[in-house]
Amino acid sequence: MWTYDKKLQYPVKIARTNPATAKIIMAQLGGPDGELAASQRYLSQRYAMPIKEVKGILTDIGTEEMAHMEIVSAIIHQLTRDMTPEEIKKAGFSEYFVNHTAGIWPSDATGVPFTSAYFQSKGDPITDLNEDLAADGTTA
Amino acid sequence: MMMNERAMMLKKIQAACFALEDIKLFLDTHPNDRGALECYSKYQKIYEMLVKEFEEKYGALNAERVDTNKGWTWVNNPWPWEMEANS
Repeated sequence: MWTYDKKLQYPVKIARTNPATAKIIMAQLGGPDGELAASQRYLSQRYAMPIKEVKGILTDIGTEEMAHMEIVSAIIHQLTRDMTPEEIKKAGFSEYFVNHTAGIWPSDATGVPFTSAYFQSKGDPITDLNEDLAADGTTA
Repeated sequence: MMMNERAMMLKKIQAACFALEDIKLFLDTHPNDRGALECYSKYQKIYEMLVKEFEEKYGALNAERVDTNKGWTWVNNPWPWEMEANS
């Protein structure tokens, strides 16, 4: 199970509305290498892991990725606060806005919806760990 | 920009929590590392102290710790994604 802590892992305080930036950052929420994919990748793969230390780290990293998802969502939420129609048009945000207004909806930067096809879970720990390297080989 | 007192206290909790998070990941694969265990213990104490201080003033950060004598403070604003919780 999970419990919720009523705080972000890292504070998000964005002074100025900027839908153009929000559109780009959306990739980090619901894109192929975004936080939603990362969280589901680790949390799905852990069931095939036979080593206790790695069961632990997959659980803990998967959980942390959900916290990252919340940070990225907060960034997009604050970047799209009180947008004017002019700002929406100028930023190229109209296509997103017509479907979701300023709602948070996991997709990539071009509006392609999130899909579990972005990650793998093969029931083989070595195969899964190699997939993790490809997907999340940076420190994100 | 001046931060409000709630956000300032929360930031200290977030910093301690961040340390715990990173040491936790290290300990998962180095469970017998004495230095890391001591470091984790140090931040556990700091975290507990900061959380206690914060929650007495602003309500629980986790629903399990809500003081029901004060009512259902869990739903009180600000929620984490809102500017007011961070500034």
